[in-house]
This record gives sequence, C-alpha cells and structure tokens, in this order.
Amino acid sequence: MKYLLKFEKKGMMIFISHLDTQRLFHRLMKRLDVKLKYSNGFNPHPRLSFAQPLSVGHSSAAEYLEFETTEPIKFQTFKESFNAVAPEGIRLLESWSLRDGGKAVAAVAAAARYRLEIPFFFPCMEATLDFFASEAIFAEKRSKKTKSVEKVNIRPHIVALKPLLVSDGDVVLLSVLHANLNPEVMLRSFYKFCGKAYERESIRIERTSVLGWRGDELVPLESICLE
Amino acid sequence: MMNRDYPDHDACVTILRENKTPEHVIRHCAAVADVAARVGEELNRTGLSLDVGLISFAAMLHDVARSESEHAAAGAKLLRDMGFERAACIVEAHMEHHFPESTDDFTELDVVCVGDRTVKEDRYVGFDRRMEDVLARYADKPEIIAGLKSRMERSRLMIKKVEERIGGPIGGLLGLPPVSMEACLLQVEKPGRYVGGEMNSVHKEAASQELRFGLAFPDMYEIGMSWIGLQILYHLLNGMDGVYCERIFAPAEDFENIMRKHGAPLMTLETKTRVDSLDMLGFTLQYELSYTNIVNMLKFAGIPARSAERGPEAGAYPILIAGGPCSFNPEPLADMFDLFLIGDGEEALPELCEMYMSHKRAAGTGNVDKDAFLKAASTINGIYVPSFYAPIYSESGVFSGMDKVYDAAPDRIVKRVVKDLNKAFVPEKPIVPLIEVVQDRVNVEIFRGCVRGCRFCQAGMIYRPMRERDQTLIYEKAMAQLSSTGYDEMSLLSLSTSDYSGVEALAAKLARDCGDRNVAISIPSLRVDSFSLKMLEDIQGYKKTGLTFAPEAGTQRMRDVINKNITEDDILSAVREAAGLGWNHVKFYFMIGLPTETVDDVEGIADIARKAMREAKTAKGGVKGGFALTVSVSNFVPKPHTPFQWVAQESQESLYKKVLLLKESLSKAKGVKFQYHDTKASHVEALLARGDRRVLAAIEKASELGCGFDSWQERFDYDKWREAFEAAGVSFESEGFGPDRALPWEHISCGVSARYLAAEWEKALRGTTTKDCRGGCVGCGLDDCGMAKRTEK
Repeated sequence: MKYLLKFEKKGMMIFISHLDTQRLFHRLMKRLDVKLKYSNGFNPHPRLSFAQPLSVGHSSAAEYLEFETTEPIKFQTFKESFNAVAPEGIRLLESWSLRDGGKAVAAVAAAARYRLEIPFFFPCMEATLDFFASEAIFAEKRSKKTKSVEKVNIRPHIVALKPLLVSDGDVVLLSVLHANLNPEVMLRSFYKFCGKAYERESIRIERTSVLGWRGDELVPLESICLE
Repeated sequence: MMNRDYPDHDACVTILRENKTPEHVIRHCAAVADVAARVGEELNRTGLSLDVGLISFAAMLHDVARSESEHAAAGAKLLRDMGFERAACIVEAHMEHHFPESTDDFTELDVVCVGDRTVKEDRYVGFDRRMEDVLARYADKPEIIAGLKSRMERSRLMIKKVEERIGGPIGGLLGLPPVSMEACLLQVEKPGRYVGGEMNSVHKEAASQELRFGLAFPDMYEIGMSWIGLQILYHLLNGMDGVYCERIFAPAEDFENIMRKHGAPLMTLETKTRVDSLDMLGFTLQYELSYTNIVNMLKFAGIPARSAERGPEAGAYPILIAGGPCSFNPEPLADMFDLFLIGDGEEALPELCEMYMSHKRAAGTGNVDKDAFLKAASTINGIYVPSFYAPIYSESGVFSGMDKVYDAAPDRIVKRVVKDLNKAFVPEKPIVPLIEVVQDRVNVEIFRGCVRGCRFCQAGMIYRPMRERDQTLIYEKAMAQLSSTGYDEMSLLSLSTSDYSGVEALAAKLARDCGDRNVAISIPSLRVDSFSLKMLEDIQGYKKTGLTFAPEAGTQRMRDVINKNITEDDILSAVREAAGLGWNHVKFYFMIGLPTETVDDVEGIADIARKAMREAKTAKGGVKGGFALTVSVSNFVPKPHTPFQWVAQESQESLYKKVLLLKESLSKAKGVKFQYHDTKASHVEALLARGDRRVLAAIEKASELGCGFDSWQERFDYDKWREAFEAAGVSFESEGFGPDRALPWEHISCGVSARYLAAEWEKALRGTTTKDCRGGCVGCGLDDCGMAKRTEK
C-alpha cells in the first residue's frame, strides 16, 4: 500500500537536515505502529522518500513524503496521532492513498514555489523586475561531479519572480524555481546584481508548494500524484 | 521642561543606607535605575522629552522603604519630606501603575516601571522571566494569578511597544540582547544541536515550577545525549512535582562566539532560559578532559567558577552540584562546586531536590540561606560539601590530609548505592535526538557493577557491588522504549555483558521479538569466549558488525599483573571462531604503560596480533582478502580507588617510544591496522584524575589560555596545558604516592577498603591473580553486597 503525506516544517525544525528528517519520519512511523515495507537485500531499509530535499534553514508549508506499508494505515486517527507525537514544527496537513504503479513523487516534483522575505535595503521593486528581465543570470555553483566551482546560467530555471512590498518596508519575493535551483543560489546572484553584500541570516526562506508538470503547466504535486 | 539636579548615584546609596534599606534591595534599585535611565535616553531619541535625571533618582529610591508594609506610600512620604515631590509621586504609584495605551504618552513614571518590571533582583532578565517569578509566588492561588495575568498582558504589550519604538530589545541597551535564535542558528555548523524539542523531551509550564534544575553535560550535544545517565536523571527529576529539569550542553565554538557577540549567555535547551537564573545546576563528570568545558560554560553563563565568589545567598546564582565517576576524586573541582553527589544518583538527587524545595518554601519570598542548605544537605548519605573541609599541606607543600571546618560534617563520605536495581527508575520514554548522536539507540542497563576486579579499572571498583536487573523487567523496559521512540536499534549495557546470569535467554528472547520489528540488537562489552560469539552469531546472523575484544595486555605475565584473567589461548580461539563464523573485522584493545611493563610485554602485543592474523587465515581456509585486524593502543592512566592508585604514570616520552616500537613492529604485519592514543592527552588526564585542590588553578588557567574540548584530539593543546600548570605553580609531572602519604580522595569512600587495594597491589607485583567474586568473597571491604548470598544460590 502506498501513501502520500503533506506536512509543514517550521519553527526550530527548519534546522533539521534532510537526512535527519528522513530518520525522524522513519521513527515516527515506527512509533505510530505503521508497518513500513522494507526493501529486500542484505541491508533492508524502509521505503520512504521525500518529493524534494529541503535545505537546512528553509521552512516549508508543503513538504511531501511517500511511503509503502504492508498493512493499511488507519486514516481516521492517523493525522491526530501523528501530530500528537511529532515534534513541534512538524505538522501533518493531509494524507492520501496512492494507486500502485504511479510515478515516484521525487520524479514528479519539477519545481517549487518560494516566499523569500528580505529586509528593506533599496528600491527593490524595480531591481527585481530588472533582474528578472535579464537574458542570462550567471551564478556560481559547485559541481557535484568535479567539485569545482562553475558558472552556470540560472535564468532558465527561474520560472517566475514577483516582488511584493509588505509592512515595515520589508520585501517579499514570490518565486517559482525549477527543482534544480536552490533559492539561495538565486538570492546570491540577486544581491550581487544589486551590489549588496549577501547576508543569509537576515533572509527568511519558505517553500510554499512543490509543483509538477501537467502538460506545460506547473500544478501542485498532489493533483498529479492523485490523478 | 526644566530639569533640576538630583542626588547622584553615590548620594542615593547614602540616602538608602541612612534609611536602613537592605543591601540586596539597594543593588536591585541600582539595576532598575540603570535600565530605566537607558530606556529613557533612548525614548528621548525618538522624540519624547523625559527627565532622565528624575528617572534615575526615582528608580534609585523606589524601594527605599521596602522593609515596611506599605512601602510605596512610605517611600513617597520620605521623598516628599526631603522636597522631591515629582519623585515622590513616582514612588507612590510604582506598585499599582497601569501603562498608558501609547508610548507617546509615556512619563518618567512609566519608564521607572519598565525598569522595575524587567529587573529581577540586581539583573535585567526581561519582562517574561520577571513575571514568571511573580506568578510562581502565587502558584497555589489561582484566583490571584488570573487577575495578575490580565494585567500583565497590558504591560507586556507596552514593553514590546517601547522596544519597537527604540528599535530593539531593552537587553540590547545593556549589551545583552535576547537575539533572534534563528538568525544565530543560520550561521553555525549543525544547528540541530541547539534546537531542543525532540520527541519525548519534557515541556512544563516553567513559571509555576518550584525548582528549576539544569542538567549539564560538559561536552557537545551528540556526546551528552549518548550518556544513559542523562536519560535516567532527566526523566526522574521531571517526574517530580514542582521540578523542571532542562538540559544544557557545551556549545561549539562557532555558536558560542556568535551568541557572545550578541551578548547572549548560556541557555537551557528546552526553554532557552539563562542558566544563571536556575535554582540548581548539576554537571556530570564523566571524564577528566571535560573539566575546562565546565569552566568555560560557567564563564559563558556569567557564573563565578569558585563557590566562595558566589556569595552566601542561594538565588543569586544556582547551587552548583556535580556527580559521576570523576567525583570519586572531587578535589580538583572542590573549590568550584557547592556539593558533590558520590555514587548512584537515583535516590540521592530527588532527596536533595526535595530538601532544596523545603528550604525555598521556608524562605518565602527571600533567598535560601546557602550555608544552612549545605549543612542540611551534608546529612544526606553520599553528599560531599567540599567547603566543610580544608586541606592541610606540609611545609614542603605535600597534601597531608583534611581538616573539618564544620564539625557535624561526616568524616568520610560513603558513596550512595541503589541496592535493588529492580526498584531503580528506568525511563520508558527516552528522548529521541533529532540529529545523529554517538549512541543513537534504545539503551537498557542490565546490571551495574562488575565482579572481575581488573586492577587498572576504576569502574570495576567504584560501581561495586554487581547488581543485576530482572530479565522480565529488562524486557518490558526495552519494549516500552522501542514503542515510545521508534528506534530500530537496541543495546544492552553493562560493564561486562557476558557476566549477566541470564544473558543467553534474554538475548534470544529480545532477538526474536526485535527481528519481527526490524530492530537490530547490539551487545557491547563481551568477553572473549566462544559462548559470547555463539550468542552474537545467533542475534546478528548475516548482519555482522565489527567485533571488539579487550585483551588489554600482550603477555600472560602482564595480564596476570592487571588481573585480566584471560589466556592467550582464549584470545586466539576467539579470533579463530569469529573468523570461522564469518566475521571479517576484529578490533583489539590494549594498554601500554602498565605497572611493571617491560619491552617484552610491549612486543607481546605485536606478537599476539600476528598470531591472531594467522589463526584467522587458517580458519578462513586461506581465502584471500578476508580478514582485517585493528590494534588499538591506549595509555594506562592510574585512577583513584584502584590497586594502581599509588603509581606514577609513565612519562609520555617513554610511552611514545613504546608506541613507535609497536608501530614499527606492526608495519610489517599485513592486514593489521595500528591505532594509538595521544600520549600527551593521557598525561594531562592523569594529572587531573589524581590531583588535589590546587589543580583547579591550572584548569582555570588552561581555559583562560583557550583550552576546551580537550578530549577532541584536534582541540587538545599540550603546550597550553604545560603553560597553565606552570603559571598555577602546580607540578606538571605525574608523581607516585608513597604508601604512607595521604591521598587527596581519602575522605571519599567507594566501599572498597584501602587494605584490599593495597593487598591487590602487592599481588599485582607478584603477578598473582584474584578470582572473580562470584566464586567466593575476595574481601574487597564492601558491606552487605549481596554477592555472598548469590554465591550460595
């Protein structure tokens, strides 16, 4: 039996890494007496996977986890008992049954929507529009294979970028980025573009949804997985 | 508005003293005046025009008549008589004051009240912490609390508005902003260490607790969370009414630096409460090389490291306590801690907490008298109050005994023993760390103590007698812990697992039920025998983890000296069998620098490693690339309360020569990996383990020079330690103690008699072994240990 969970990761839990979150969910499932299905082989591990890793320090209003069990879970009580034992900051929002043979969520996840809260520092509205209007935006990325720093054009991976002015002069950038582009990489380029020093600790990054392609349209992950 | 001149700080103090205001109230007034004046200045920057002189003056005198029943009115009359009408109005109103709805309408009175509502005694603690204390006072009167709370809401909101208006927290004006934890954590390695909130961690309403206890482990989170004692004491204390126990770990350098930069102090993990505002702070002393971390943590917390500097009132600072194996020689830290708990903590610690709460209740709103509390505490068995004892030194500076300063204190402090382990507390819901820690699994202690009597081993002596926990109980607790944590690994803990009487049956039962749940079992501390191997094979099957044996010494002569009681044949046949059963990696632990050791004994280590490799190859039928052996060598450190407590540690130069000899000798052995411990760190460990009270100066100096995390090889700095010892005027050489010399830990008793230890030392020199005490009492001096009865059974 296959299931999909949607949960949020907020507060202090944003400091728990992807691997540690995976371990946490494994333990939560065991604690909730969910009979996880294990892989075969010499070192069996539970079949449990996230749609898209979340960087340390990023919060999320919509994380997705897919897992398989050998016995059906009790839907009526699942959410309540999950939220009763999960650490503060991890909260289950929704859970669904998945049909067998569907694509893995990680394969469906193609992009994500982010809310980037940056402190006021200049007429940011125009700068954002100019930045987004650039034909090419080069960012430094560390290559996983060669470990060397490469310059890559990230512009094609920025699907949308829209500035909003909120109270107190803070600026929120609403953006849609391809799954292979970490918002921090874009933000570094943006700060450079504006001639400002990048200060990670003054920025709040929140993933608001994970998206997949339906035709040439990006739609929330669950609407594809549940088709 | 005309600002007039008011009496300055010193003149105010004179006025207060003339009116017999108590000294601690004067300190409180000064702190409130400081905070209020700074807030007033900041508000003036935002467009208000407050008379800061008036604010300072009124705040300085706001509690001038605190000893009287209507202190606000009485204080106001006094000021009025002196001709300070405006200040008199402020003092008159400060108790019942309501803040206006807008900071635009703030007057001098409001600013004084901001100060008064955020300062506890003589320190700024912020509104929330201050109100927690106010609420705690009325914990048993809910009708008053309800009224207080609604009034507090308004005050909290207005103080927040003040902070918004001045553009930052009030603490920031004083150089200690409660900075955004999130912003700090974004800049450090492994931020998960500092977040807390793990599954099964305990959250209580802090304000209504009578005793706030800090359980501190002087190393990183990953190390501290691996210690089983933390899980026991944490849940034991939190199970008590009125007690809230929170955890504290040593912050890594990056986190500490960033917190210090923002002026933030050491805080508890659960509620991020300042450590210096707790009632009690208990450190565990698991290894000597953590001592500098304690000094550093106290410094970071703003707590003076020496008890004499912390004043006579409990409440100004937490009561500092320590426990754990290293407190069997508490002397190096004797001037630091208010008291030590010697031995098992499961009974003594709750007793101590109850006693503190009753003293607190008796003191009412005042502070607990520390001296009276310590005197009472010294009547609890196992509690050592070091300030009641003064060391005597001979003219040549040799420690020669203890003088009692408080007559009623016990002559000797005998360790606490939990007689029946089946009645001792075992947590059913251990905390599950959110990040990976060193021992990341369910741990159940199966027995405490050890019957073997290895002569180098401190644990084998101080944890006597052997006390087994009932199999059914172990099983139940293990299963309960698995259910409450979701762990997929479990471990049985003890000093020598194969000595548990029902180990095979227990392991088999657990293995069966754990297999069904996809839980793996690990059984550390096994002896080298075929019985243990068979059991491991049954439990682990094809999922073989590495296998570790501790022959400790390379020749039979040496093993007899240390009373290890295993033969070369035991070792080799264990390797043969392990290889035959499919293990591909075995690790051997040895020690060098043992008393009477010769070059032959050292070469014996290399010899046995080569023989073990040959055995393994034969057992594997000559299959290639099959087998790896790791030889890990550590340096013998003489420890208090062992038969070797009198000997000097071998010089580190000589130890290093032996290391090189082994390295050379084993370099030719194929498939053998050689590891060794830093001889320099062992040298410092030896000095701390058997030091007297004078060693604290060296520890403090080392910390000042930048030493910390000394058990982390990359952080250990030998030259700084040498410099620290020299600066403190303490010898940096490990010395032996003659048989007639007083030992610094003589007033602490672990139950094993000095006569027995001396006899064991004599036997060691003759190379004679002592049997394990299940075969008959060996006369170690322990009363009523229960082993004799066991033997009869």
